Amino acid sequence: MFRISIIVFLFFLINIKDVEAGKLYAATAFETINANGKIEFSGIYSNQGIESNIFLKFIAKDKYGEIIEAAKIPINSNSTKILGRKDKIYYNFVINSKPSDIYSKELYFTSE
Amino acid sequence: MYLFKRFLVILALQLVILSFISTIFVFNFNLEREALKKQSKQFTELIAKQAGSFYSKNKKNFNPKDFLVFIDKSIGIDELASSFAITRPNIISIYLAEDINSGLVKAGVDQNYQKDDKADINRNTKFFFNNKYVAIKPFYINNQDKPYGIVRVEIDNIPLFFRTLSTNAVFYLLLFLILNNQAFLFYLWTKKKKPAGSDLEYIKESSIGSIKIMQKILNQIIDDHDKDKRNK
Repeated sequence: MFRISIIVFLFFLINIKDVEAGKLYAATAFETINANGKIEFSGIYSNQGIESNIFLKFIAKDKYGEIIEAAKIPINSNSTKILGRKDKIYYNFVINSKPSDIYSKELYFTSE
Repeated sequence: MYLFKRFLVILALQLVILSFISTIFVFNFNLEREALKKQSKQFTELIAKQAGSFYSKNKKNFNPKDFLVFIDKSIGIDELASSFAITRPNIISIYLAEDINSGLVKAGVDQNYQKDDKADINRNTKFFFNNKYVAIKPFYINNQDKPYGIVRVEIDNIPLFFRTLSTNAVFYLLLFLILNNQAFLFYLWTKKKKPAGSDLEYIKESSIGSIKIMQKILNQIIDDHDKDKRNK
């Protein structure tokens, strides 16, 4: 029984897939400190498929791993048209938390 | 008790085999991690070079969009994302030296703007290992001696962990089966010798008993025979 369970576990690992299926493939974002001393993210989203409602999700955590700020920002809210393949959108947003309080950041795109 | 002992031996054997496979996994994972570290350093150097070049020209009127356009023209935004095969950075941080010095932002650097391995921001221990790798490279403008800022890139090691496990899973599975078979063959080899020894002992003990009885009977027969002879 022990051996069988290990074999099943290893087969599970062979077939492991990306569990975060909702996440979209996107270019890396740039983080800078703006003139007001706030963290500013900017980047270019290159659409790989025919996604329409694309959101950027941001999570900031403190030293203890607690979420101190989370945001969901629509990327193509200004344009009503559906994004085509290889279309590029420039995005830019500022987060309110004090930069020195942030220890880890997560940033990813989703389509809803 | 006998079954419990046997179970303990089997459990200990499985643990030895699994620890051996784990050692091989750690070796494979470290190889992959070193390759990723090297790639991250090269990537950070490339961005730092571009940042130095951009800030030299646009020091006063910095605009993130202009920098993105500059990067897109010089390297290519899509190429940036695809340069990492397994796990790639989601965020490239560009912090100016003045912001770091004033304590506005924690960049995880020492006084020389080099990576400080002891800084909390550069570590994220989960699953018994530090699953965050941080590459930091200072950049300079107009050939100045003091860095104008730093480029910081964070890479998550967890996808690499699962990637190593899934790509080598067949190998680990076969290794597990082969080692178990070897252990079973070893058991058969040792088991064959043991019964031979114990059988002999059993035969020896039972034979001595029967020979003693036979000797007793034979002695009685001889005594009877002698008595008969004397009576005649």
